Amino acid sequence: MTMTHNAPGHTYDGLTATLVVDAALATKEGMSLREIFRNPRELGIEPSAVGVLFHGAVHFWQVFSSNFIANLVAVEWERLVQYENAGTILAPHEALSTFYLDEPTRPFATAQLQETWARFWETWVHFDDVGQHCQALCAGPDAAIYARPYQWLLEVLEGDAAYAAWVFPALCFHAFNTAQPIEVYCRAAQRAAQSQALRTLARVVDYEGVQEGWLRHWNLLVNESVVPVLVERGDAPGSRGIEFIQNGPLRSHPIYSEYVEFLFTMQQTWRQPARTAEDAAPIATELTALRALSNDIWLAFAVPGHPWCRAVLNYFLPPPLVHARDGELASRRPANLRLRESRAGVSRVNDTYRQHAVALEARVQRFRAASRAHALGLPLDAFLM
Amino acid sequence: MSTLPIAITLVASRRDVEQEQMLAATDGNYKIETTEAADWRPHDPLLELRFIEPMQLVVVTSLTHIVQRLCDAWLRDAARGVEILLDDRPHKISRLSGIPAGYLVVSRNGKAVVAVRAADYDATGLAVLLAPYL
Repeated sequence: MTMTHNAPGHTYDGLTATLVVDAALATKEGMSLREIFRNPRELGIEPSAVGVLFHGAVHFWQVFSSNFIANLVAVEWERLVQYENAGTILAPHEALSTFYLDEPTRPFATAQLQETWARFWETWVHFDDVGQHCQALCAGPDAAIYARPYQWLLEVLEGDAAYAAWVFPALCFHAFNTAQPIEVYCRAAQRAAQSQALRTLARVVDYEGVQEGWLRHWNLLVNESVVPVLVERGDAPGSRGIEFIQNGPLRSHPIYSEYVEFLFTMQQTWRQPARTAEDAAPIATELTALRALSNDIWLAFAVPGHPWCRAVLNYFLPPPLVHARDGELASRRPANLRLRESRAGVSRVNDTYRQHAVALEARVQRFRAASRAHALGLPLDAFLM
Repeated sequence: MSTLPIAITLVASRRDVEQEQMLAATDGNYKIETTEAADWRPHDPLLELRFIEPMQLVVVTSLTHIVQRLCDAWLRDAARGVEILLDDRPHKISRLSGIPAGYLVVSRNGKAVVAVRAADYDATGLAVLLAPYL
């Protein structure tokens, strides 16, 4: 029995990178998440379940693209490793304690901005019309949790829904590659509100469509809104989450560390057109279109709800394991890792992430039980009897 | 077991709250006084429980009924245990405080004063255990 398997309602666990979707996903033997994301309507999956799947996938991808979020996972992973190696529970890291803090000096908590960032894209899957999207995002029953930073942005931009939808992804993407996401988000939003260049371009974007606007005018959007704030703050050019994974405690994480291989494949395929047919034939159209716009793979992470980016990210980096009411969807591990293990004589090479994820869920469950016991002043094994 | 009326605040997901509302509709000794969104945050950072919509209800009932709910539903939850927090009035019974499934904790000032495995207690035993606190 693991906590996530039995979780009531949809659950995303950043420490295990697994997702529980409390709905049927029409899982069949051999079906992959790639197929579900590509054809959710044809498969008859509930739209809300597709939204949850995508919301979880966005959180998963945020770990690779955002150094702030990768650091949150890393500090909690360090606590788990410390518990397993030394049998002690460290105090929760300040980065996580302050993540949820709704301080009077700030309009919202950092956790709310991260959630709104994921909800923005989840909602975009259903409504790529700006008006409907804004309504769905801001008027839901849980808008207080998932939309406050967006409502704040709308106020700053005087209710201009199309403008807000255009600038929001750029603000979030870059804010979460700094140590102070709220400050950068808010200051960059004020910049966007005052920028005549962006206001003028926004009229073009309004005509072309916001999706086109993200891809075609991304650099101008960032340069006018976010870059001046980063320069004023003295922020160094952003390292990404991937660098935290490669160089920090997450090197020992059984899932994030392996996904580095997938990211390398994505980078190589993106930059070398000749490899597309070999490595990514099913998404050749999307990849070719994106490559024509940018040689930077992070564009896909910045705009993960754009249909091209969604297809590419889900092809290269599908989340490792999804538990659904009617079964599990496990992604395949990188072929070169499996080959390496096989050559090294590993007796049982796991083809998919199922075994990795289930074993990790059990470790995380034990750690959390010990951590909760510790906080309550109980012996660490109080809940492990 | 005592049937004297007592008030508690129950913190649970919207789906769980609907179960309580169904019970209250048919049981005159289980009255829900107020229902509102709960100010709640996850105990396990990085664990996002979506759509659970944390709610809190003020329920007026008896120790007998509370023990019955613990035995029939709350401690049977395969995902989460139960914490009874003595700091607030009415006392708060939380199904969303990160207690592992199958366990019951009574706490004061964030520290456990009682922590038991539910499987070790029947309804009578639980009533005896909780009577000093509720």
